[in-house]
Amino acid sequence: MKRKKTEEISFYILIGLIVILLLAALLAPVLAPNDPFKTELTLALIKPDKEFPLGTDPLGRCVLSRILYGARVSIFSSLCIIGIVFFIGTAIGVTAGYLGGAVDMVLTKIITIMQAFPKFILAIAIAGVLGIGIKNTILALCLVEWAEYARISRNLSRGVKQRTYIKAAKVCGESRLQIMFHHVLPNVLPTLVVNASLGISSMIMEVAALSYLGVGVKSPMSEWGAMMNIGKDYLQTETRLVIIPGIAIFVVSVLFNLFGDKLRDILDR
Amino acid sequence: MALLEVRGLKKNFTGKNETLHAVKGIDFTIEEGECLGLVGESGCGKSTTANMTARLLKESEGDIFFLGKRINGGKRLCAAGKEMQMVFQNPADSFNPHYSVLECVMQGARYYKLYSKSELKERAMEWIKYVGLKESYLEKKIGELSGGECQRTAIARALICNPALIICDEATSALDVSVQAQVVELIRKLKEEKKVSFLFITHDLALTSSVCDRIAVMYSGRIVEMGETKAILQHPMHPYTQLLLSCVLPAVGDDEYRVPECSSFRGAGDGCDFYEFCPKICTQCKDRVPDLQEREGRMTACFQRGDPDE
Repeated sequence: MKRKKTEEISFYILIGLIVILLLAALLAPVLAPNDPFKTELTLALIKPDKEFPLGTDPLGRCVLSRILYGARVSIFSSLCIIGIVFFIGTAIGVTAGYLGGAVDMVLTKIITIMQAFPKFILAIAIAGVLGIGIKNTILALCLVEWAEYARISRNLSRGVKQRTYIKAAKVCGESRLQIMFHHVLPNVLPTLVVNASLGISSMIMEVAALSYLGVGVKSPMSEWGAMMNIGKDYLQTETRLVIIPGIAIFVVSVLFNLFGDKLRDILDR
Repeated sequence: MALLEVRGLKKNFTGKNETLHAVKGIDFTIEEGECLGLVGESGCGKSTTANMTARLLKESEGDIFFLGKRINGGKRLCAAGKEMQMVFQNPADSFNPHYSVLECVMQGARYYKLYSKSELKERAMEWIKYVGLKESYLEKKIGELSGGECQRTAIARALICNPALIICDEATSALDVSVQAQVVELIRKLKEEKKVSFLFITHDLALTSSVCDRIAVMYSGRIVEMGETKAILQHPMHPYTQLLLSCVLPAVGDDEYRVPECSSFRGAGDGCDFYEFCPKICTQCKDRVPDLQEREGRMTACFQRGDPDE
């Protein structure tokens, strides 16, 4: 009982921290001490001081302001990708798993083909072909990530399909679509939600990685991976240019991972 | 006309290397207000028959007539309608775990659009009360209920549509003896008060004597004996029925009791499926499958059709 309460408290603390993070990202224009896009070469590579709490980058832009603005891109694009792949993957997976037969065979083959590609290499290729930009980054990652969610929801749906309450629903006159919405989906959703919440952190890292490699966001848009890319040339003299966005990615990833873990514990009870 | 008429029903399950003949052509009827018990050992095809009748499984051959209409033969499997309902073996698993008791019972009629929203709730509450569940249970999740309470909820769900026939597929098998008795009592009450017909599938012979008007004994996908419950239980004619009845363990310890040799042998040959275990084997048994023929007021599929004492 006491453990249950402690778990709940830590879950609410995590939610609080995530809300603070999201608010910080949303209120970046208010919170940022300087213009994150204004380049001023005379202010390049200034050490942290009162005006620039985390210093400036080689183009004289405030690192703290860029981190705050970067949070918007990193977090919201990851949430957007997770939302899209969750929706598409679940829809395809539940349809394949519940309907079975030829529909399942065709959809499973497509899922298997998608999963056979090295995911990240494919994302780089797609983003490279589509061109640099956050929209294309999101599209590229959606194209490679949906298959995982489709596979999981398909397998879960196949399990649910065997349950007696599905037979009972058929006897009660429910159509296939009604059974999928009323019985299959609610019973596969908890596992998928936990998986999605754990996936947010890896998505943040993938967005950052694409930007780091130069196929992510377009300059001057601020993004943590792109910031690390700029900082890598100054790794020995200005380590903070890599470490600060690195810490941002690390903290956000850990927070979302812990959130997913706690959510699983609570839903498993 | 009979309420339910099943003619030459067959089901084959085709695997990679072999075909399993689960049901090999059975015929039976159920009249209005009648309870037919389908008994036999595990794997004899009882549940397959129930699933085909309830349109949960497509038959390989045969016809099913319900309320004078043929309900099979369509391209896609389609529920027989509100007049035919089913109660399953595993009571807890036959409900969506996210539903409350009230939602579970309402589920039975919601999709047939029989009542308005408020009327549906009222009816559900009436039936919940009828099957003996307290009003405090309405909002309880199905996982919070005991096996017997779950099965009562399942019966209430079946009853909300005012069905003519309820198929009970081993509905009492997962319950302990006292709860079994309560459910059986409820079924008897329904038969008397609401004139509901039942297809009662069970492997428990003792249960059939208290609920069923007639029983059909199945062995290896065929009905081997069918008739009045009392007559069959007291004077079984088919050697398999005799063996099945002698398998019932004595309630009081009996040192002399020996379990008779019996196995679900599925004969793929031409002869009677039971001939390897039959103590009354004759020359025809190995070559031909005996037809179900009437003798002394019951149907028996045996060349001997002998007296039980023979």
